[in-house]
Amino acid sequence: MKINSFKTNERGLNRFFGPLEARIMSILWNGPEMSIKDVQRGLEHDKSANFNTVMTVMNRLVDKGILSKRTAGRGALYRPVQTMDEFIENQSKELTQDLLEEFGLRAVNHMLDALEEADRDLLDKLERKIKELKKEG
Amino acid sequence: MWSKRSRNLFLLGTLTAGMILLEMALYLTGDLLNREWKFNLFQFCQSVFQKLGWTVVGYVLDGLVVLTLAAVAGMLASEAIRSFRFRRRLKEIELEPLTSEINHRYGKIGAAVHVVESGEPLACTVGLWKPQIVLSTGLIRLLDSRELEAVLHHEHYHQKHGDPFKTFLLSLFASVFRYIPLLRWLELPYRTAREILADRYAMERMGSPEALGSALLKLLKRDKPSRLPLSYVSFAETSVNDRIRHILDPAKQLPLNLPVRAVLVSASTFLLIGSALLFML
Repeated sequence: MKINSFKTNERGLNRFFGPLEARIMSILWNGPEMSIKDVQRGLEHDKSANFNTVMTVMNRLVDKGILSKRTAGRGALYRPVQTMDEFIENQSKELTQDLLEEFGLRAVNHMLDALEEADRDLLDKLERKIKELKKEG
Repeated sequence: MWSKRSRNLFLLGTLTAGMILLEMALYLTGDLLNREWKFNLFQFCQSVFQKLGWTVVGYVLDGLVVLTLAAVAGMLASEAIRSFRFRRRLKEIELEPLTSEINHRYGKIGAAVHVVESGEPLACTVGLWKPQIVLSTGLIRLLDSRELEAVLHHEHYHQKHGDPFKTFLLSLFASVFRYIPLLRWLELPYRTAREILADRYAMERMGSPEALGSALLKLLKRDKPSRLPLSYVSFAETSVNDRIRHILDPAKQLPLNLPVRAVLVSASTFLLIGSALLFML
């Protein structure tokens, strides 16, 4: 799952979601598996969040792979696919990868670039030397 | 030895390319202003072509000059824009609490660091001007505090000396002057020399090669090394062995293996240019 519209001027979950999406995700991350009605109750102070709107947004989140949905009786229950920490970490990784791919600059000096094959003997020698230095230290 | 080698390689590259670019710029302005310069190789060649009636070859020469100058200007502008945009994006995606923590913990080094989320252990210095040091969470997780300090000293050396700009210049000349193999060749030994100098600086600041060597070892011995998207910066293809040799024995001289063919081709080119200039006298 990858969020395509990253909002750089926002903070927290609002970086990855629209305002209503962020509130819905926050409710779902802070509770058990919920139905659309449960989530709507959590949003009761938000008059714009009627049942149909919440249902549309939640199903869109299912389509994006952010929520999972299972049938329970006559309704359906929803829960986030990842924990909030996992989600933010993965999205941040994607953003870093995108940044590096987009700006494949030549004006770069790496500590170690492509992790290429180093000479095995040299690596062994280096390992021995580090061990000796650690002992001396 | 390494700083002398690095300086000589950089001078060789920039003076060679700079001289040709200056000659080209003079030729173009001379053409536009209808003015003759005393020692301009391109004007000389053009006059010879005209005398011989080789008009088409003259047009080819004009095209070569215009395209080369346009390529240099275009690449410089494009890289400057990309550097600017990179810095702006970096500010947006950096992990603020961790960035502050690392800058506070290693503040005495004097390197301004940005931390980004990535499983890959990444440490690099980026940008044409005011280069920025970028570390990844993967690297912070992999290294202990002394190893990380050594890596920061290494990157700080690149940052202080404006290495990204210098390496970019050589890389630019190598791609613009493909017909001068010497310029293509010297990019790699130059990068290697800069890496070794940065390693040396880090070892001096740490008082021992242990932390840097250990960091390098951890990076090289990771289970499944994967290439970073920036990996076309291919210096490490061979330089890592030289860097290990230098850590094992900093006093040992490592030979600079001159590519005979590249030297011969470049030398012949310059011999021709020299002869032409002498003929003009």
